[in-house]
Parts: sequence; structure tokens; C-alpha cells
Amino acid sequence: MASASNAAALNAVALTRRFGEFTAVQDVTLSVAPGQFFGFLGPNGAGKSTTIKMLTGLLAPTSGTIEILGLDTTRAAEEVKRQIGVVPEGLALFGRLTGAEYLRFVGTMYGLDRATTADRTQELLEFMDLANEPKKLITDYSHGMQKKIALAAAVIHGPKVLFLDEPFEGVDAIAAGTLKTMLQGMIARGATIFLTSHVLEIVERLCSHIAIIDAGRLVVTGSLEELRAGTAAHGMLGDGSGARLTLEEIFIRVVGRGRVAEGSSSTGSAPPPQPAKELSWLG
Amino acid sequence: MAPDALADGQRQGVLHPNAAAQFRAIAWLRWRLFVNTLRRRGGKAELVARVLFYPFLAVIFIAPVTGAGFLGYYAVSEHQSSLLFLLTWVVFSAWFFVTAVTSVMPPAIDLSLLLRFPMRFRSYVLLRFTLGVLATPNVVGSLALAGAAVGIGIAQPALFPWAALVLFSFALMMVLLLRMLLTWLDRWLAQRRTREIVGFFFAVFFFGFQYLNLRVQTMAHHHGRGIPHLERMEAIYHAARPVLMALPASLAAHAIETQAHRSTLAAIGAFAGLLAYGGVFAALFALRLRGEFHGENFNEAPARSSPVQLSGARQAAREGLRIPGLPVAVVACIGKELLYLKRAPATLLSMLTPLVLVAIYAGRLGTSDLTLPGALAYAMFSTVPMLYNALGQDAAGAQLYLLSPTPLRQVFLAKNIVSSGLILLVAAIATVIVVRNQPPGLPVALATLFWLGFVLFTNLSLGNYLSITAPRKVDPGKFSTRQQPSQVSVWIVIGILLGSLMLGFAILWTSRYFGVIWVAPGILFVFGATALGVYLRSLRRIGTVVLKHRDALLESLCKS
Repeated sequence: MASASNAAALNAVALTRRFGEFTAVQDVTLSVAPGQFFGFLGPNGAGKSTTIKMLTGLLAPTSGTIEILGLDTTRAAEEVKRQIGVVPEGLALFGRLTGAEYLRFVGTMYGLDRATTADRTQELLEFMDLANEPKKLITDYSHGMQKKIALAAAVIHGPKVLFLDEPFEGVDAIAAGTLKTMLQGMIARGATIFLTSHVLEIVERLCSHIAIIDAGRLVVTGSLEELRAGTAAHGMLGDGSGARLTLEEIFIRVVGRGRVAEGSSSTGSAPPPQPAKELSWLG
Repeated sequence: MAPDALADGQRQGVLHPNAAAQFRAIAWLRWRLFVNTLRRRGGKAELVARVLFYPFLAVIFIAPVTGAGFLGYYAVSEHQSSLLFLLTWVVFSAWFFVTAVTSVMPPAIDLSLLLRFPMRFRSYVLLRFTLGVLATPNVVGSLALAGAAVGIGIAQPALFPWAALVLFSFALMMVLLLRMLLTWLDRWLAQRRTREIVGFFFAVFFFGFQYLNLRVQTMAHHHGRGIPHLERMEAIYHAARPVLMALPASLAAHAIETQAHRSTLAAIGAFAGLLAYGGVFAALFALRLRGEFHGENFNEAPARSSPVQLSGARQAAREGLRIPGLPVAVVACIGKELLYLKRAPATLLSMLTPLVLVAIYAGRLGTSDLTLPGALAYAMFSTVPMLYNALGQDAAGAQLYLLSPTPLRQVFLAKNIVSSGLILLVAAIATVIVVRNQPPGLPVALATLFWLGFVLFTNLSLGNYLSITAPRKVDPGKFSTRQQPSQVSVWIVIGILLGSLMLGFAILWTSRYFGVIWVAPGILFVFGATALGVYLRSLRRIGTVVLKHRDALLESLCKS
């Protein structure tokens, strides 16, 4: 085991998960350095949520090892849990509690004392603009509000590594701005963030490093600049023109092979995703 | 379908031209939902449990049908017209009661989801009504009235067509009445605040009923045969009789009775009254459905309140539950469970119902050693099943227990403390009700106490295990949903309660038979202590069990 001080924030080796005959994630190896804002991308059903569940201990890997901050997630599960914060796929909310009650509960479950929990609850509710409706139950929150309270709960104990599964899905521009500000602040203070999202513009703006998974296999990983330059590990993305690719273009080139018709552009601009088949009966 | 064809179709006919296909599709949907339920993890065990349960149900169904048939026959053949009134009123009351009890079961399909499909209002009403007719209480109630019509027909064949028409109309009116009430109730309970208010009134009603029953029993005990209040109640009945005669059950009976005496005009008058009720209920039913059909939306969100005072929220967070001697995380979980309980009136109500019957029958249970444990077993039947789905109400929130560093045994300990507290509260109330009438001797009381411990810890151990291996997501926000474990779990609860009751009885009976009654509490103490030991051991290992089953657990609780 690596020492916690100089270890990677996250180190997964040969991670595989099978559900019966179906292999959802196969042989995924990735490493995230401390302080990185890491974007984990992939099309629907590629294995993103399964991977994040394994990394956070919600799902047992069929094989492979995971270390977070140098700690083995199986052998030092409790210590790992103290160091990480998670916004999982289902948000892990208790609908019949108010926002303040929920944060108080979560703070206590993470071992914070009453005073700290109370102060942080108040700060988080205000920061997330949720303090104005103290009697509202979480089940009555809008989707965006639920995302915000889930994120508040994930950070209340000050995690060193934060896992976010689609944090921007269904969130309005103002709320998304609030979330981004908070996440960038965490990165500036040395935290590591592992994020999955389909909103590629946001990922491109926030993340310094990217990995793309497709059909359960990691197909590309590297820094954004490496991906843009087309020299990322596992992938040959360059088109020979020397033009800078956007993340969307990179994503479509990596994942879209065989799914969308290739564009004929030679200038490096994104080939417009053309449907492979026509639906002639659609108006 | 082409747009033009659709427009033509909409101009013609009462129903949407595609209505028949839609009805078939909905029938198919219900069938597939049932089949897919069996394909789930534990589905086969569920099927076996249902197969065992259905003959049981069939017997329960046959009894009212044959009973109504015999009563109809006897009333007409013996010219006991008052029995016809008894028949229709008993059917009316039982139908109403069973519908009220079974309405807490969640529907197979949320029919309002069908509104996004192109469907005419009349089709929607017909669909809601048809599916309503197929509800179990309506089927049994209708069959009971059909049985009564047959009985009347055998007694006086010439009366059969009229009796069948009247009782068919009565059945139709009942279905309309109950559908109408349920849809309006759904409307009122759609908002949390009204739900809580209705829950409060239900609780007041139940407690009031128990209090009244205890008072009447006490008066009966003190006054021997004469209950002065009975005379007053009789007077009230006579005063209310004209009103009762104008109600549907009386009208149905009156229509048959008068026709039996060849008073056709009076019979038609009563029948017209019955039809008028049906018409009013149908109109009210349609009125409610029209609101749904036009996309009404009951936003539960309270009005935006004024900005909260900083110090107030912080103060509230600093406060909260404090229980000395327990780990902080356990106390936090207990606090969360209590908040959930406070906001789930259906759970509380479901616990109260058996206590009402215990109160009613407390004076008639005899004086055997089994009276107290029997009453406790019955009273606990509504509370013990909650142990078998401890994570059901948490749904996706259960992920937090796996993500946080709090040991899972502390989470389950907290849940067990709260549910055991409720069970013991119900047991204590039942004990007070029973003991007031017939206090048991000290050895029996002690034996019952240890027996209770045995039952509780056995159910806790098994309940925790099944909560992890066979969880079911439930929505505590819906009034019509309780913490329902699987059918298998229900059978396990029945098995444990009956088995332990027989065990307790065997021990008590044998001890008394051999004149060593004090042996019974000793033996049951050993049973209770063993069950406690098993429970503590299982609690220590619960983290391992959860990790082993976490995939299936989270799949069941987190998937929509």
C-alpha cells in the first residue's frame, strides 16, 4: 500500500464487474492525482455509474483493486468513507426530512459534532439557496433543489475526494453556476473531484483530466490537452490537421465510431452527428 | 393512425376509436406486471406464497356469498322482511369496511399515468370504473348480492327478475359510491397537510371508539343486565329510522320487500330512489375524474416562507434528540426514524386497527392462560411486519448508510429500537385492555413477558436479515402505502407468531397440568434469553451481511 501522503487520490487497477453473463465494466485501470478535477465520460450504458459505484463501495467489483488516498477500499472501508463524499446516481436522499434535518443527520453519520454540523448545515443551506424554505420536505423539492441538497450532504464532512454522478443533470443555469463555484473552490483548496456528466461543455470547462469509457472498457484517458493533441493514451485522436478539438468532437470521434456517419470536414470542426438511419415516417 | 382518420374518429362515437385497443393494452399491462413480479428475485417464493394464500382467500369469499344466499332465501320464504334490511345493510357495511381496509394497498398501476395517451374523457371514466369493478371487495360484494338474488329466486321464483335487477343496481351503486369516495379521498389526501389532518381525525376516531367501548363494557360490568344508555340508543335509532329508510341499502331491501307483497308502485318508487343515488354518485365520480383528466396538479410545496432566521436554523440543528449512553450515530438514526414515523400517519393507523378489535373482544376472550399472549400476538400482527422491511421507506437514501463511516450495526440497532418501541407500546396498550378485564396471575404474566421477548428478538433477527436480502421500496409519502414486506415475509410473520403462540401455550398448559406453573416463566425466560443472544450475534454480523447483499439491496431500493 502506498503511503497516504504521496499516494494518488484514486487508483483503480483492472476493475471488472459482471452481472451474470453480462460484463458491465471490464479491466478498467485509471489513476487520479490529488487535486485533479477528473471527468469520467461515456455514452448511456457504457459503465460510468457502475464504475463510480465500485469506486465508492456501493458495488462490489468482480475483480480488481481500488485504492483511495492510498487506502484499500476493502480493507480500510471505514477510513475511506471518512475521506470521500458521494453524490450517487439515486441521490441517496431521505424524502421525508427537511433539508436542514437531512444535513444534520448526514453530518452526525459522518461523525461531526453537533456544533460543527449546525454551523455547516446553515452555511450550506445558504450557499445553495435552500435556506428560505426550512419546512419544506425534500420530497417536495424540485429536481434541481434535490441535486443541491445531495451535493451539500456530500461535502458537509469536508471530503478530500468527491465523487459526483451526473451532478448537473436537470439543474438550471443559476444552480449549475452555484455548483461550479463550489467545486472549483474545493479544487483550489486541494480536493480531488471525480465527475461523470453528459454536459460536455461543463466538463470541458471544469475538468483538467478526462477518461472515456465505452461498452465497459476504458478507451481514452489523459489530460484535456493530451486528448486535444490527439496523443492520449489508448487513443489516436488526431485528424492530422493540427486543429484543436473540442471535448464534444473528441467524444464523438471516440465513442461515435460506427454509431454515426463520419463527417467530411477536413478543417477539424466537429463532424455533425448524422443519424445512421432515416425515420421516414417522422413529420 | 393518420391525423385525418383520428379527427374523423373523434367526431364519431362515444369512445375513442382506439378505446378497445387501449383497454386490451391495459389488460395486457396488468398481466405483464404480474408476470414480471414473479421474475424478480424471490418471485418464485412469492408465487408459492400466493398459491398458498388464494385457497385461504377463496374460503373467505365463499362465506359471504353463501351466507347472503341463505339469508335471502330465509327472509322471503319465511316472510321475514326485516331480514332483507339486515341483509342489505350487512352487505353494505362489510363492503364499505373491506374497501376501506384494502384501500391502503397500493394500486397495480397509477391510472393517472394513462392520461398522457390519446383517450377520451368517457373512455377514461369507463376505464377507471371497469378497473374499479374488478377490485376484490367489489367482486366479493357483487357475488354476495348475486347469491342473495339466487336465494330469493329459489324462495319465490317470480320475484327473481325484480330482485336480480334491484340487487344488480344496488351493486352498481355501491361500486360507484366507493369509487367516488376513494377518488375524492385521493384528492383530499394528495396534499401532505390534508393527509396529516385526515390521519389525525382517523386516530381520534380509533381512540374514541376504544374509549367508548371500554366505557360501555365497564357500565355493563357494573350494572349487570341493565345498561341505561341502551334505552337512549334505542330511542336514537327510532328517531333516525326515517333517515335510514331513505338510504340506499334500505331502499334496495324495501324495493324487494314491497314487490314481494305486490305493491309494485312502492317498489318502483324505492328502486327509482336507488337509481337516483347511483346517478348522483356517478356524477360526483365523473366530476372528480374530470379534474384529473384536465391535468390538475396538486403541488405539495408550501408557500414560500419568509427567509429563515440564521440563528433559528442553526439552533434547530444544534438541538435534536439526545439519549445518554447511546452512540451519537444511533441517536441520529433514531431521530430520523421518529421524524419519518411522525410524517407517515398510515403506519401509525395500521398499528391501531388491531387494538380496536382487542378492545372490542377483551371482555369476551375467556380466562385461559393464553388470553394475554393471544391478544398480544394479534395486536402485534400489524406492527411486526415493519421489522421485515426496515430499509423500505429509506429507498435510495439507504445508500447513505453504505457511504457513511457509521457501522451498519448502529443503523440497524437504531431502527430496531424504534420499531421495538412501537411494538412494545402496542403490546402495552393491549395488555392494559386485557388485564383490566381479567388480570393474569404472576407466573402467567411473567411467562407472557418472556414469551414477548422471545417473539420480539426472533422477529428482529429474521426481520433484519430479510430487510437486507428481500427489501421492497415503499413511498411513505403516499397515504395508500404501508411498509409492506413481501408475501413470503408475511407468511414468516404468521408462522412465527402462531408457532410461538402454540409453543407458549404448550409450555403454560403443561406446567399448569402438572401443577408446576412457575416452571413456565423459567422455560420461556431461557427461550427469550436465547433469542436475545441470537439477535445480538446477528447484529454484530449485519455489516458483513449487508456487504454481501449490497448489489441486490441497492438495486431493489434505488431503481425507479
